[in-house]
Amino acid sequence: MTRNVVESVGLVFFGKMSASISHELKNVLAIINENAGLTEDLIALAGKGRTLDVSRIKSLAAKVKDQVKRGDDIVKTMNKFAHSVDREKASIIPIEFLDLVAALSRRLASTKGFELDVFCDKGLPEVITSPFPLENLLWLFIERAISGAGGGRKLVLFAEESGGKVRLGLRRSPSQLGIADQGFPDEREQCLAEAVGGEIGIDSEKGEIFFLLSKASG
Amino acid sequence: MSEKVLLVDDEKEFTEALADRMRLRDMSVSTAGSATEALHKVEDETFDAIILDLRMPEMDGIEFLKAVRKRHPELQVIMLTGYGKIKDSVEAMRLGALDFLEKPADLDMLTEKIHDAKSRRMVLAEKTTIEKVKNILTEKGW
Repeated sequence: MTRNVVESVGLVFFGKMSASISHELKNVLAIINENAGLTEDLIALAGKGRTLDVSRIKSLAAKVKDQVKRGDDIVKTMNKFAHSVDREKASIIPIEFLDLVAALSRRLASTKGFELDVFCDKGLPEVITSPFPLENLLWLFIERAISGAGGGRKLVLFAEESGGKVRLGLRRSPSQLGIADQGFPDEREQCLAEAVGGEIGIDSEKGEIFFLLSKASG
Repeated sequence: MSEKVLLVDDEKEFTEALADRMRLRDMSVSTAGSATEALHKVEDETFDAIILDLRMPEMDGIEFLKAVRKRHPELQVIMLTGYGKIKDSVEAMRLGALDFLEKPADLDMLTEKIHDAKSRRMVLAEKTTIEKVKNILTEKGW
């Protein structure tokens, strides 16, 4: 039962993230296309006698390079995400893991008017977990926070030490506002939490949904 | 007279480059980084065409269309989006969008659509003016 839910929810999550990535790449290509087109237009006008502004051409080339860098970052995120299904259990570095989830989710959160940041305690140890279901679980936390009425428009993915464990989760800022805690955890969250292997919890007062994981050494 | 166009997209780099290219084709172009900003602009100015992205923060293109249709039925909106689902395209056309194009769009084709938009807007504006004059004449009993 749990495995079926995890697989079907995972497929939906994978599709959603892939669609978002492809949308963002399409935007990058559209910007490159318009800047290349503008360069062509200016060169064509120069062919008709208009002075070619070299500094403008340089600026357009720089914009294209910026977008290539942006596209490269998106592809790197996509590659890391795709490889997160390689192993059922793996050791993760919390800050790198949250950065990946944030990179995947930021555009979707932004379309709902939310900012997404990452906060991680310094020196947190690695944890052994199931990367893909944990990414999926954190995304469901983000969806839940976004769907909550009222509250701040800033979401923070956090990782911190808590009683010998690592506490990973999502905080809506300003806190104490609007985390949707009705029906928490739902079936999807519960099944994913079981697949990841940790304790799931919510603190409505602080506006936090979290997940407790054992350290890799423990 | 040149076409007056409003470009609405949250990708600033995209609107800047496309606006510059359209200006080189003698169009008068304004930009808006959100649907909310665009709503303010259409209250203050008249545009021959609005080039509208679908997915934007806070208010998306479909919501913008719904909001603007009632107040400005003569507005001509061309949707320009990264990936348009058929469902979105049907909804946009049902709400009166002139066309639904995918990025990156060919500028010559987009220019033709803008010419069409201007012609349609002028016909609609003329009809509206005739209706208003007729109503005034009827009210006055002339």
